[in-house]
Amino acid sequence: MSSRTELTSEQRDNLVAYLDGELNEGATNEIEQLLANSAEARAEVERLSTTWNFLDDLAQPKASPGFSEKTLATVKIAEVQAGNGSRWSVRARRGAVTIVWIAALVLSAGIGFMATHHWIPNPATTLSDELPLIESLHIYSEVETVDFLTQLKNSKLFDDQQTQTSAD
Amino acid sequence: MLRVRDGDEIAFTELVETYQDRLIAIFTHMVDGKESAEDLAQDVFMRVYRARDRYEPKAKFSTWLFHIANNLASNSRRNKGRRREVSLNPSDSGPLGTRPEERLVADKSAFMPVRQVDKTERRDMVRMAMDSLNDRQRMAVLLHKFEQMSYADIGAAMDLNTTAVKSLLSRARENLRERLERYMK
Repeated sequence: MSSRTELTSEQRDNLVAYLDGELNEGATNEIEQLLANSAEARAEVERLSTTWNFLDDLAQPKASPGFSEKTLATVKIAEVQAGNGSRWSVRARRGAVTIVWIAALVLSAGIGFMATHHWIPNPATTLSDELPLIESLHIYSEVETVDFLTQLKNSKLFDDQQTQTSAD
Repeated sequence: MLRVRDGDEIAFTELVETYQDRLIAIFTHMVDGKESAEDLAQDVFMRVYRARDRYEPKAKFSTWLFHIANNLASNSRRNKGRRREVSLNPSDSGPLGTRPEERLVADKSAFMPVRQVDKTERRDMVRMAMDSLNDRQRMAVLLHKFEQMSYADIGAAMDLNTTAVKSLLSRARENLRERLERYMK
């Protein structure tokens, strides 16, 4: 390790980390051994250290007078604006929820109406529809079979009477 | 920050006063001009205040703060880079006269090795050397030098692992050494 160019990339990284106190014990020992044996490594550490100290000369500007007041005021204004925005969004959300509830109620009522009037048969309606049959049930009960009625119709026994009734 | 989260307005005022100079110092070296630095610092505090309800003390507050600062600085530099037209012609220096780097370029003797330089001149040289670093190297150097942040904390602030930070700082210091060693006595 007598030449600067012989320092590997890892050794250079470790030299910097050594200066920063970021090496573990094993790596620290390795670097310290390197520094003990290499004048170039020692010179490199010296250069890196001096360079680092140069940064102390960098300007460290401070906040302008009134910066904190201006910042706090800006934050407050932004907060109020955001609050107004959120109030409107809350109102809009509530309105939307109300509309959805009303729509759901109307839809439910419609489905209920359709179910009770069209989809599920009503026994009372059936009875009223069949009322003429029910009223003449005692007559129909005298007829034993449908075949008998068919034969009666085919015999045309009541055709004259039907024609007369139609003429009346 | 926990007091800020709980709605303590005085705590937020204290927080601004504690960190304003530190943020502005960092931003001044990341963007052009103190005014831009103050705007960015204000933006950081705005974001901190907005996020106060969601704040969880998983890491150091300063690490979280400089994570926001790093993101804002990156965005600012990126946006500015898209718009800016660079001119290094000294005759175009504008109404404020020549820039420090232009003065140094004009002053050839500044490149003479082992030359005594006054503090202002050395500050300009250091500034130039810092400007020669890329954004990530510069931010890592600033956080390490002026915030005394560990590699782990720098990694948390910059979304990097510790090994990457180690390499980044090594490259940065190597670059700085190359730029500044001619001024070493």
